Amino acid sequence: MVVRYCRARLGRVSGQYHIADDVAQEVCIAVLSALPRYRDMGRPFASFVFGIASHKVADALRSSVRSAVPTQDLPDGPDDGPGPEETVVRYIEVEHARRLLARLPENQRELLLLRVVSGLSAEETGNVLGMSPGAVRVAQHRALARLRQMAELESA
Amino acid sequence: MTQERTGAGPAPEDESDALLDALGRGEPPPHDDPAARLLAALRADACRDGGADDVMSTHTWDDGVMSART
Repeated sequence: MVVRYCRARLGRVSGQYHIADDVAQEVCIAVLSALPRYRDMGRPFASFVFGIASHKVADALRSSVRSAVPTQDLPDGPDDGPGPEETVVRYIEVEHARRLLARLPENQRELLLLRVVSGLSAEETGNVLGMSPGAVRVAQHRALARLRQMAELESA
Repeated sequence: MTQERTGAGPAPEDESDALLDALGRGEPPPHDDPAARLLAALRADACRDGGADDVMSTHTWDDGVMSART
């Protein structure tokens, strides 16, 4: 869940998720380091984890240092993955999603990513974002409607 | 200000909630909903190459924290 969240927030660099995966690793280390100080306040543990993840992603976005990206070794055998055409179509669709999401207010964008990419419930998402489940339901409905409107306008 | 609903179907907010729950479980999006298709594509891409669906749920996390305390 944390890996997916970081990937969706940070995207690919040079076609790879190396930076997002590194940030996800930092989140896991930060969670482990903070664990002795964790106090159960009646909120799901996920809100504690994604609170840390959100800060780590924000730090990464702020620094946006694009250092050298390691590339995988050339494979010895045939690649079983999707072909070039399918890969490009998928890439275009994902970049389209990312571009439209970037035009939403930050709170709505974060909400949709936590709900869909991380798979959190409305209640868990509310705990991460400091919103009531009712407020999450209203905000996510508005975010979806806005995203639909933008997608339809672009395809018209 | 709230408006009284007169229709018999579920409230639009409930439909959106159910749709996002389904997308969050990795279920396929309705083909006539462009926003759902984009969100599903983003999720599917984040799941590739090591970001695959977890077997654990966040409830399992909570159970783990509880059992670590006892």
